[in-house]
Amino acid sequence: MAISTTLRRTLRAGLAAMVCAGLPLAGAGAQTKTPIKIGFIVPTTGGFAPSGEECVTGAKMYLESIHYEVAGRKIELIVEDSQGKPDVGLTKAQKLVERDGAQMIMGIVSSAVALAINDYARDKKVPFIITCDAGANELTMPGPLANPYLVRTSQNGRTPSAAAADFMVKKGWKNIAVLASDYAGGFDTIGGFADALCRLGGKVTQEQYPPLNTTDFGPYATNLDRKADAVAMFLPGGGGLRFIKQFVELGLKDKLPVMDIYAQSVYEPFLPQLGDSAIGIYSTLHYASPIKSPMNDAFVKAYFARVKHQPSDNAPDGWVGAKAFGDAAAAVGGNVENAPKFIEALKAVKFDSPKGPIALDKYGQVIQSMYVRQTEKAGDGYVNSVVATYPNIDQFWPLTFEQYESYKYRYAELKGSLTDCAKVLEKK
Amino acid sequence: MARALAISAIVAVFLAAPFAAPSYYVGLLTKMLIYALFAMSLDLMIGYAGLASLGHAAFFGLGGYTMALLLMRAHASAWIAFPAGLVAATLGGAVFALLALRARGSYFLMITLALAQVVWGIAFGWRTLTGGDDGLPGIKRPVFLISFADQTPFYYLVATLVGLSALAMWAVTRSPYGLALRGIRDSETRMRAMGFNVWRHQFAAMAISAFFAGLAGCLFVYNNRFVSPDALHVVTSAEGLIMVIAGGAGTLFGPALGAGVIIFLEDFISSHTQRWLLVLGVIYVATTLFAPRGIVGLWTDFSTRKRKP
Repeated sequence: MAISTTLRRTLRAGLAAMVCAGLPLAGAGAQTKTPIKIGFIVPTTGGFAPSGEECVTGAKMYLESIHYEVAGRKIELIVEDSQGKPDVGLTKAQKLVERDGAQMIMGIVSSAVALAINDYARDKKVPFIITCDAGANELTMPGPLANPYLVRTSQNGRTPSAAAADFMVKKGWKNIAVLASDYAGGFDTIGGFADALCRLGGKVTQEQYPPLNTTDFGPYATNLDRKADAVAMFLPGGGGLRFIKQFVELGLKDKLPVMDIYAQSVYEPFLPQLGDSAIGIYSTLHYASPIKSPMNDAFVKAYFARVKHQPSDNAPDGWVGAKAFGDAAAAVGGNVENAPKFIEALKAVKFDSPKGPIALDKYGQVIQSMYVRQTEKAGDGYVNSVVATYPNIDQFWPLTFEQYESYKYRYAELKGSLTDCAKVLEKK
Repeated sequence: MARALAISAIVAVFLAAPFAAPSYYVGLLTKMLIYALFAMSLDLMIGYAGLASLGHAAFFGLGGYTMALLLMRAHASAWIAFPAGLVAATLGGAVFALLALRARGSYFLMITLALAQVVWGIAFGWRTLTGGDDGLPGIKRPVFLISFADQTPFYYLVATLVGLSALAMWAVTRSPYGLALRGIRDSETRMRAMGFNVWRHQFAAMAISAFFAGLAGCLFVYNNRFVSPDALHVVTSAEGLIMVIAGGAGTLFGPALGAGVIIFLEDFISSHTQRWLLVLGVIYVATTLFAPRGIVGLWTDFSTRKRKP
């Protein structure tokens, strides 16, 4: 009996809160001195929670530096958990916009969540700033998914692949064995790599697709084409880490150089686990913590003081997203309610960041530098030092949109035929 | 009399909701209704036919995916795609029944789980057709004579369909067929001895249950205007199971209530603390310890005890 009263009381409290929470909506609106509310959607539970939390931390670091205030308006950051599920992400977006009165949605780690929110943001004309990992290429390209209210300040799927291929060919490695996880992101990434490699006169000699969450990479490592000049891989979610361990155990590391597109194995939090195995591995990413610039030095120091480990790309991505918001909000005098003007201001931002110089293209996708890094020992730890930089490259680099569009097959459709350069490069 | 009053009060609340509640809550209520239908359809299997399944998301997703694929890939009209989704889910239920009904108890649970994983695997892996884990975005809400694109008309569409489905399921459980099902749940051997064709009864129960799960799936896809393999995932099946257990299996109304409460709690608690999974976990444990027959069981215990001092 006691239980049922408590239950009823809880329900009643919940209902009361539901009613109260709905009320403030009525008051908000035109007055410009009300706070700007940012709805920040990331997974804070589940497998991708670390990426989400790092991204939020980065954004908070910037907002703290401007004391949560822009153009005389206070900034309120409301973080919601998407659990990495599209329908939950969508419900959270509705809650943030319709109940909390958020003027924009930021964050997003999973591409599927980004795709689910994209339609809603477009219908409601809500600025949608992707500041975390969600890298689905088509979101910022002309086509059915294009959304005039969307900008992305983090990254997209194909540029790290293009840079990796360019770097490897310049090193003289033209015959490459590739490994990619068996899912959408894997096909996109490795297809983009094969495309760039073929255009530069190289060739994929072997393709392998281990399922996500593979624990034993022994067979894949044993199977590797030993005649290849090098290995290129994209194995996210801990797969890269396990692969490298077995790759080293088999004594292959002295024979085949490794290029880790997107740095999934030499991800900064993994480096202590990999130990000496990580030394010498190449990776491409739009960030590296040892980038030499006063801005990055200060950022890494502040981040380290906060969470006691080196930042990966997620924290600077969050920081850049928040800074882009701040600059654009200042440019429109704080009137972020005028969504078209605010988006225009967002696309016009230009600033220096820990990642390097930042600008946006006309589709709303970030133009930034791509770094080729190599892991080395530094003191009693390991770092990814920059060995090559591709400054200010856009989402289609080194192609134009028209060239990118002229191919017959999309990257993901090329699974299983990457070794056939004629098909990879076939025109419409 | 009291029951008639209660039912008309509930209907009135649902009718008035879009006028009284802010738009976000209309959206949340729509989601609650869709999950309520999903939980009720699962309750037909668990609470009435005695078949605990961990593969119910397969019917939910089959309905949703079939409809989404016809809309997006074949550019079919909603008049064709929507019923096709229901047919696909029902057929899915029949196929599952053919394969799984040879087993009972936890073996049945495992077979349904395995079959559902196959469906999930197809949606996840057949990228050219289903879009893989990116799913199918850009689905438009239906136009059935009038447009249901806006939240309020869509809410009424969902509320009407869920209401009618609930009525239909209630009628099924009250029919002689439903009584026979309950008999089978309680003692299969006795019912067989009395001349009932147990297999045929359970087969029909699975098909009916899959039909309503498919309806929930189609509405879910329309509500999100998007479908991804998450709709087919074992987590969705498990969520349905929790809703049924929390609400009270075998009561039909209970699982609907359970669905509403769980969706609301998930939304409410996760907005207030990052540790929301812990809070939900404690609530689930408390439910199994103190209300093993769910919210409805707790209520009946309470009200009967009050009557007999």
